[in-house]
Amino acid sequence: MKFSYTLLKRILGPRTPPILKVAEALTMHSFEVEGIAGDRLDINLPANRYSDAASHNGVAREISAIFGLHLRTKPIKAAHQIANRGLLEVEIKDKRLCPRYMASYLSIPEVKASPRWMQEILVSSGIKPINIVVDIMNYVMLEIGEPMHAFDADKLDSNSSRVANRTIIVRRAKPGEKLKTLDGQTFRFEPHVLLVADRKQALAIAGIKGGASSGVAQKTKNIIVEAASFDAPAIFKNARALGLLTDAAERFGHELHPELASLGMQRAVSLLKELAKADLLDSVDIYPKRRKTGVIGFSLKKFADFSGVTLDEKRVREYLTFLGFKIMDRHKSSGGDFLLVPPSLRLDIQNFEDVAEEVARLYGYERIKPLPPVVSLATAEIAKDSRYKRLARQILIGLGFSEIYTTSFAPKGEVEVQNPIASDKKYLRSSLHSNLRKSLVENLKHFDEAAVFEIGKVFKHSVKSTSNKRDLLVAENWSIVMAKGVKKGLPFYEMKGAVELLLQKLGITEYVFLDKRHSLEILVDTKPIGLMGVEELLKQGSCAYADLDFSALMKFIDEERAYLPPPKFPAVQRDVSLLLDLGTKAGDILQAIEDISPRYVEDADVIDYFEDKSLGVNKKSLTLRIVFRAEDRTLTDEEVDEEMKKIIATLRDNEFHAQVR
Amino acid sequence: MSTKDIQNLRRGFLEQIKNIKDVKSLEELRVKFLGRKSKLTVFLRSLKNLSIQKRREFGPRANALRVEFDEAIRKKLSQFSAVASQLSHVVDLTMPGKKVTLGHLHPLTLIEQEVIDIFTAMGFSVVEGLEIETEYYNFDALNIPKGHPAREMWDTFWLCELKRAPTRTHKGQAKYEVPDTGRKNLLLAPGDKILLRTHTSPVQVRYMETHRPPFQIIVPGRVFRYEATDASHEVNFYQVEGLMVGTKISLANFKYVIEEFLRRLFREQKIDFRFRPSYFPFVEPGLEVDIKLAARRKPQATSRWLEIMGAGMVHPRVFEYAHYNPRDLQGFAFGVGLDRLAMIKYNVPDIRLFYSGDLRFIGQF
Repeated sequence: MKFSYTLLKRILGPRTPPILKVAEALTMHSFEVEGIAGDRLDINLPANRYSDAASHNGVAREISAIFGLHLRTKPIKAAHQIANRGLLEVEIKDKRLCPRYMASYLSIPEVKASPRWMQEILVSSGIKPINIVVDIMNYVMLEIGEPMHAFDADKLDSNSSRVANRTIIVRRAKPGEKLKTLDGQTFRFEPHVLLVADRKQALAIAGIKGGASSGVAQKTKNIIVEAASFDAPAIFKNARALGLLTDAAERFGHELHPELASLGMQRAVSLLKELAKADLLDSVDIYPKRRKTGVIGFSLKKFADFSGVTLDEKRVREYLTFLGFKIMDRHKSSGGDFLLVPPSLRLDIQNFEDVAEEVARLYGYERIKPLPPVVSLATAEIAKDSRYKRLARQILIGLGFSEIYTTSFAPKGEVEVQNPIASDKKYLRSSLHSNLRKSLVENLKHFDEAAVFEIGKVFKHSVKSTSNKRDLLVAENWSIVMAKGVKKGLPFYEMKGAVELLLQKLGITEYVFLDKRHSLEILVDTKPIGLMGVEELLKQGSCAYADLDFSALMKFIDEERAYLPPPKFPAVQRDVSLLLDLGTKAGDILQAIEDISPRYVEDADVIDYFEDKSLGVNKKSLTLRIVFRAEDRTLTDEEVDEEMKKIIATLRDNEFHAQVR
Repeated sequence: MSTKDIQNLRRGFLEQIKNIKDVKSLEELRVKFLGRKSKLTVFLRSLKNLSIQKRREFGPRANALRVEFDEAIRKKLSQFSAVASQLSHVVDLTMPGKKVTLGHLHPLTLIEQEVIDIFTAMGFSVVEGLEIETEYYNFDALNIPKGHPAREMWDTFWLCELKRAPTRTHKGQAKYEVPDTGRKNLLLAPGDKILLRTHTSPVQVRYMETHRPPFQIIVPGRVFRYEATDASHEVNFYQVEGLMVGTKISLANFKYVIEEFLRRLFREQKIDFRFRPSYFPFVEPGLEVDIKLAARRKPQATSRWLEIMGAGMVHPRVFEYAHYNPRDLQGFAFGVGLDRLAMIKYNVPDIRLFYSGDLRFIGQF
């Protein structure tokens, strides 16, 4: 929000510090000054300070409290004489949306230009001067913080016979109701939008913008000045929906105290009288439910505990007095405890902590000395997710995979976003797979091979069935996807080896792979926890991937290790090359070997593999290494030869029809 | 230098060179006995100031000693290089090293792990939250009720309401269940709106609901904002939430913990800090923390104040939402953007690089 330094100075007097010093002090003690341009301060006003500080008076009060400067101008008394002569009637149809409405009826001899000083202040606050009536309305908003509006009184109820009596009705829009605003746009309203109307038609969008037909122009002779209070969420919503983020809407969109209306009205009427020679004919104030200000207890001891700083009572009282708090001295005897009445406009101050903030920030957060907390020693716990992610990441980079982070959004998925930011981001990702694939395609433009992984959340729907009902659930799970892309070849076996090492390093030994023809399913303790496979990468090459349900896998991770002594008796190793049908699966052969000689075969592995026409049609050769060992003695060559013979004979005679080469 | 000095010098040298085992200590020996500041060199240089007689007497002897030392050192050196040249005969030591592959951790992982390590060393526990949250935990329980203008500070991705599950008995409800680590699945009442968490703060109330103070936790995790992407904004990014609650945890304690954390993270004792007022509905008072790093750092990070985090003392109403008695407790909370910290620490100019999956970027960490 823009503020004029000149106006602040008018309010604060000649002892006002220079603009840079004011900006710095406000940033460190009140709210952030985002920029300075000439005479203008741009302040990032917090959402809870609009009631008291969306005004030059409010900002001046902050400056006065920070520097210990007394305000030059006396605060306006909220008391306002209401005439109620019957020339003007106000009717509020929805008192929740409009808790207070004040209107004054004035005659004005001439609508001329406003004085130069006023125009300068308006310009430096980013407002265009128009005429004396409109300018006073805007000036009062700047000074007091209450958005004001003036109607041309003679344009109200123009067809009515009772010309002497003007009526203002605050009501919701009728179906299809339209209004042309001061800036020439025409709006058609939804029925919830609050309007200010006369008996016949809408005059203004309440709290947002005035209508063109009742605007004050040079010929205007009589005006009705409005100062009101509206429901902030409603104004906020309407202004957004209509795209009318006016200065008034910005203020009314945050909660303003109804007292501001009377402060604004009083100031506006006195300026109109003084500068435009206006004459007050009548005034009305509808304020059925008055807001009360509560009393808050404050304790210096509690403040010291809360802030870590001990301040003397005199200083605290001074800070609070400058901010407009009333200190009630009835409880003076109780040593540093007193009761406070916060300034009525300070809607943000409701409890002890709010008052503590006022004292602490005026003292200055930078002056609070850092103190190490004193607490009982307790062991820091690291959540399992966090620990296991770190473990898996360490293993994966050791395996040569680099970690990437990708978007959580996807063009397809199960959990749908209500307000997607782009058409290809309509869903939450249900798998990391396609993001990694995309990354490989890009990376293979720069590298011959690339290996990446991501650990991230994936989102799915699931149905939970019990005996008599089925509930639809959202499931959020950790996933690990590893992917390796190469320009030439197929990195599947490396991937498989990497996945096995990952599982082993996570302490998972009970895993099996299940051949699903197009992919390999990974089962841990009979539960499927992931898939492995290969795929083409556009024109870039091919890739192998593994997609693991890490949340499921976490249940099996075992960080315990136990030492086993090395075998006492030596192993005997035999290599054999077998000629097999091309379709024979290596995994089946290795499993068969372990089944044929379960007592002595410790391990069987493929050490060489090739296909060639010289081997015959649809044939391949596998060279196997078989490791034999007995637990209780050293195996003799004869024993091993015997086992080998048995294995070879079985593989020759069963469905493998294996021939030794 | 007397005759005795010369003898002592010689004896010392011969004794020491015997024990020399490598080139480095041989060089140290050379400097000691033949270097510019060695006794022998200093003496030789001072000869010209001596009488002719003395010059004649000691000059040749000192010179002979120099030659003897020199030869002994050369001889020793040739022994060492003989070993080296035997090896280098087989191996060309100047060949480039073979490329060994090791993967790279993502910079956001590196910084997250560093943050975790610093805070666990200070006794903070690490807690994980949920990326899908309810409106209640993301807003209401943090003192940001519906219609509160401050809600606009968090542009939110809302998720579509789940449709009623297909059921034959029509008794099924469209309940939402979010698996929550560490405890039973959570079933939410139908009609609860779900969203992508806009900050890690919902974990504050979730954690307080199931734990008794005193405690101190941090919560790292991915968060989401509905906003246009540019060099400093992403729709998903990372935060670390901090929460410390006890009977006397003060603002001064908050300053200590945060200053300590940032000094360790940037490995820098001289950081300028700025704690200034700010507003977040779930803290009172609310603060913003800015830092200015020492001038020897990257220029972009030194010349100006960098906004690092929002923080404050936990609002009594947040304690109430967590069913605590706010009169007995006080504490602080903070939220810091990991992406922002990583951008400052690693000199990364564009937040989008973190989510690019580009190994030319990742490979540098």
